[in-house]
Amino acid sequence: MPAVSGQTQERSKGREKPSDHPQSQAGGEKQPEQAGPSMWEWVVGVVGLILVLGAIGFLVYQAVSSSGRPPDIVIEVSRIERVSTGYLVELVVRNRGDQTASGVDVEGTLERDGSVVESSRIRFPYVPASSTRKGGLYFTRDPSSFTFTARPVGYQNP
Amino acid sequence: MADGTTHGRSILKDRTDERGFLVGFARAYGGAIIFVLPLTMTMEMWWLGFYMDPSKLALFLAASIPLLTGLAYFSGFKRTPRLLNAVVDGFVSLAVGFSTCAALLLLVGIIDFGMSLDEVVGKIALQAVPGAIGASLARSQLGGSAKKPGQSHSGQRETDPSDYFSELFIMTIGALFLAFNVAPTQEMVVIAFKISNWHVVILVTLTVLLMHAFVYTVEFKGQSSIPPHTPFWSVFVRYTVAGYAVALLVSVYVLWTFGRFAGLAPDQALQVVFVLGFPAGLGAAAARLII
Repeated sequence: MPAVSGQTQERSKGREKPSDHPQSQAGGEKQPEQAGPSMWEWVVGVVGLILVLGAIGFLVYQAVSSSGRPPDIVIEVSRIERVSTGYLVELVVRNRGDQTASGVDVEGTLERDGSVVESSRIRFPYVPASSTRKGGLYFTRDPSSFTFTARPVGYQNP
Repeated sequence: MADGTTHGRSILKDRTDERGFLVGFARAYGGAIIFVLPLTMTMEMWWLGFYMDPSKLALFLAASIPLLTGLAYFSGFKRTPRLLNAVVDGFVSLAVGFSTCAALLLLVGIIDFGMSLDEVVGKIALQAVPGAIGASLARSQLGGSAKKPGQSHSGQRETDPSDYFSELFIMTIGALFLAFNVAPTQEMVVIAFKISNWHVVILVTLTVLLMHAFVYTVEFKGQSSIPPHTPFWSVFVRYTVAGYAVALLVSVYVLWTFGRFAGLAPDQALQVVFVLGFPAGLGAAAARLII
């Protein structure tokens, strides 16, 4: 009787602390306990490998295929609306070049018969290569009754 | 009897291994978030993501693979670390790093659907590496009591502690991490331009002294690989000075990667390196203490 309960105790103790067992029973045999990576580790590891190699490949492709064209800023009007202080012209600024432009100044003018009636400007901190940024210009007059032009004025290298 | 317990033990080992892995995995995400969040909230890091030279970023990512493998290898908790385990661990950390950064950057709206792929990849990739470092450290350091076979009672690194190279490696990681946190911001460059040459001399001296103080603290805590009664000069040259050299090299690499040397005169460039060398050196020294 006591022997059986003793064995049960031993087994339950073993269940609670499986790490003790290998050390006490396996003695100096530490090497076989060092299992290879588990299946989950392999799965996640492969995902990591794909992500890293994909990122490196993409970046190398970017570096190699870029012809180093300077920033080429193009501006589109997306919307004109009435706001509390007048009128708002929403813009989408696109950099078609290969280099990032920083401090991009955009000036918008309302003209009639060749003379500038009103002008506004904004600055975009960064317009990355092949990317767009959004902003808007406020005017007190209705842009739709004038000729509206928006042009990039200048930029800095980051 | 013996067969019964062996069989029971191996099944349990698999189950605890799997559960242990998932727990460690969750812990890795925690570590990644803590390590990368300050960088994620720094706009200079976002900008660097898209304006830095893509070939330099690719190089950095490629270098991160042996870096994270080494980190898993040297700070691991297995008695006889295997290279294969360390490599897989490294990639697991990178997977955690990438996914954490992607999630955080989406959360704060810094990346969005509709942004160009150039921008998105650059922003995530740059921050994925510090995230991966955090993930790797969390799995090995914050492990607590977990049932890892072969772990010693005091939970120290199981690699042969008198391995000088592993000490240098750990210092590299510490230097890299702090340099990464400080280098992107404008303030660092402003400091370098403002201070006089005397400031730099004092800064260098202070860095080395503080690093040496850290080295002695490690000795007192008994985790050092330096045998007791080693002469002061031996310790100073081999650990403190070597560590500072490592920190300076790391600083140069990080500054180069971020393109901060562009258009700088050599003496100005050196000044920036020494200024960055201060946090990098302290990071290196602290890493020996912590890892």
